[in-house]
Amino acid sequence: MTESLHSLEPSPTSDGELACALRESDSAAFAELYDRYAPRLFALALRMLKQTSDAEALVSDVFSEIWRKPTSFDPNRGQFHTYLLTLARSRAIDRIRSTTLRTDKSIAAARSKSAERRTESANLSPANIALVEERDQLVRAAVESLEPEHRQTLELAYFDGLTHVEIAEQTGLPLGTVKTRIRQAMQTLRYRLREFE
Amino acid sequence: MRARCDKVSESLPDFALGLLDEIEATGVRRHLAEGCSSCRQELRELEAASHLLALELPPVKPPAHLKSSLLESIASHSPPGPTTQRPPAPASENRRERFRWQAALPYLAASVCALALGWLAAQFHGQDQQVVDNSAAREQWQQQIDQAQRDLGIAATQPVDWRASASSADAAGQINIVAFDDKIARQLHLVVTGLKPLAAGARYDIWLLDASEKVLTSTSLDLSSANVATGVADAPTGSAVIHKVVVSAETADKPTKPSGQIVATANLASG
Repeated sequence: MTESLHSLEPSPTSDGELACALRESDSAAFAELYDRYAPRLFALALRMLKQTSDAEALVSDVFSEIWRKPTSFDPNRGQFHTYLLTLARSRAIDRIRSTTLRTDKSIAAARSKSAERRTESANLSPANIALVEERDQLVRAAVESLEPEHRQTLELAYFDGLTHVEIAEQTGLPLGTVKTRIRQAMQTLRYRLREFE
Repeated sequence: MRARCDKVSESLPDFALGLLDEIEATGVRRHLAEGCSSCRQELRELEAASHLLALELPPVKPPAHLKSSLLESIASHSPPGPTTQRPPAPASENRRERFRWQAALPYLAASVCALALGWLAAQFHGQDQQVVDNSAAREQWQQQIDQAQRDLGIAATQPVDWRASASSADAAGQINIVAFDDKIARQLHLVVTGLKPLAAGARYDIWLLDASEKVLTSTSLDLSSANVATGVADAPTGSAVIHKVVVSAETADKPTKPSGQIVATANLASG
């Protein structure tokens, strides 16, 4: 169960091995990591930036960075997918806060492209499909364990990059309530994650 | 140490989400840098926990061209040749020459861009460093870029430096605009030095204009306490020619052209 949540590594080569190969400028390892994680990052980027073009640029940005700076990932400091998602979210927030995003949001159009959507298990063996599905169920269970109002507040911070004050203004909640909900939601997810281990 | 740990631990969820203000974040970073293993572990767990929100999203396959362009880009990630990719040498004294888009910023590898911005982030949001002088900031930045070139084996990478004429008292001194072209993300990373803080509700916007004053791209700038502002704009497309760069102080929400007070102008074209 630990493996299914903590390592999004459906193929035999581990993330750590691929990350090491990146240090040797192994483009095949790069392509493998792209196939493994680009759909996750693209989904996150679409959710945060709302624009397909911005999301594409973000994914390019992140993968370019891991190619250029392969030593930035320290396996002793966490999982590779956590590093990637942290990098992607950080870059997305930079864009949200620094770029005047176009108003004609196209996320609905992007989401309607069901032909391009796939589960990442598309090319996996049955055993690995089972692992991926189990992991997805655990993730869903963890997120769904949040109080709805806590989850909503946390999502405003995580996906929209809003500050405490901005969330309070947007929701009409007292600032203290916003802070409390976010901290409690984060600790809840953390404990759920521990339970999986 | 224990009391300090408890206080930092309380802030770690917000720190993991990037919600702390700079002073609070600096305190947390300092504590982590002192080697507190329990807080480091807790932060790792919180970061992983926060990303459960992302992992719950259904994966979406990016367009196929994205992967092919990335693979093409990394395959060609080699020092540019002197005749095909190096830019024309800028006029040493006068930058009022025509900057064709493809000729003005062709050689700024995205890697240098990212490293420079990484340095900026550390510089302006770091624990102990504060840029108090624009020229010092510029010089340190250039040093970082030089180091990046040596590390990455990229030759002839340098920022495009636009020296702007200040047109109002909002300037803190000589205004310099430095642009880094990220060709993969198709973005311009812009750094402007010499700006003064604005009143609440106002912000600086930067505009890149063509010969007919049409806006090619623009973005808002985040002004740090050190008179240095940064922003990221979508790169102009096609054969667009940048003739002028304008920095304005704006209060309106999402103006489509400079409508507030013009703070600085850099004319790039000769006529």
